[in-house]
Amino acid sequence: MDEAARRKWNRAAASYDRFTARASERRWADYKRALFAPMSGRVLFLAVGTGLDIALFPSGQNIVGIDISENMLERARPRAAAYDGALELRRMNVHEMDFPAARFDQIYTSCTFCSVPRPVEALGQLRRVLRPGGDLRMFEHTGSRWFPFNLMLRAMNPITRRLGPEVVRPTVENVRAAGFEVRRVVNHYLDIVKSIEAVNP
Amino acid sequence: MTTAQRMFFLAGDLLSAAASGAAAAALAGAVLPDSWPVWTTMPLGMALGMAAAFAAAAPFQLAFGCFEVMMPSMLAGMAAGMTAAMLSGGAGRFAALGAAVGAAAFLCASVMNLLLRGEAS
Repeated sequence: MDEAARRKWNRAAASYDRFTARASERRWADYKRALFAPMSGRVLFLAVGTGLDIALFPSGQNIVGIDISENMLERARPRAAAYDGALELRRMNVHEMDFPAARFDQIYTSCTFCSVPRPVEALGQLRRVLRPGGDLRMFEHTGSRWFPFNLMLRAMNPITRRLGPEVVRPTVENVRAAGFEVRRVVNHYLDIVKSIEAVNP
Repeated sequence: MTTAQRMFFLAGDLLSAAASGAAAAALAGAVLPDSWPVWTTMPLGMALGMAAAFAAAAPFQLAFGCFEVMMPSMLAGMAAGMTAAMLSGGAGRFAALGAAVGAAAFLCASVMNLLLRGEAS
């Protein structure tokens, strides 16, 4: 299943910025910039993709960015090179991270857990590499609790999951199920697009 | 985001919802026979409308974003398809009706967004 995810995102890499992400990134840039602003210490950025988020990182940080897709990382490299700080890119599957336990002070994600194959298990891996008391800060889209939006997302999901993301994931509940303590959830569009702030207890 | 950018995106969301509503109503009106009972055509119109809206709104996502475009547009498709399934008329009438329903769906989604956005816990 992870190999299928890698192939899917390798295929999507060439058109990702143009067809999938650019307009959404413009709409969401202010929210993401605010979420990323407290970056400090040793930072892991999960699923860095083509690096569209790198321009929103505060300067001078020490960041490791990983992604499952080598084609995505290839497109991210020029953006990483332009970053005013230390940003190392590595191809790595979140389910098989080779970082030692408690390696990072903070972990950031951006529209990641709509696509990770086994989300609760992956969040458990994030807990392993995040020091106790460390922050998990996520910008994600999830399913909706509200009719008719939940119905519409369920209708769209069989198509969107073939192209890339699932649109019905209960990511806040998954974060809790993995053992994180959720401190704050802020909805940016309906109850679908949101920031999640959690702590590794 | 500047006020001009915000207005640009809102105009795009509205345009997408109106176009999706028009496409949904035109399709439902053309496909569903007037002779069928309303309890049959209404759910079929909703389903057809959502499918039509999904396709009609897709190009708008390139310029205006994803969920902010798709949610009002799918709502427009669902409502316009259902409405058209209950009425009779020509394609032009259905398209105009669907565009109006689409604008109303955009307003409904905007109100829901005002109610739901912000701190949730």
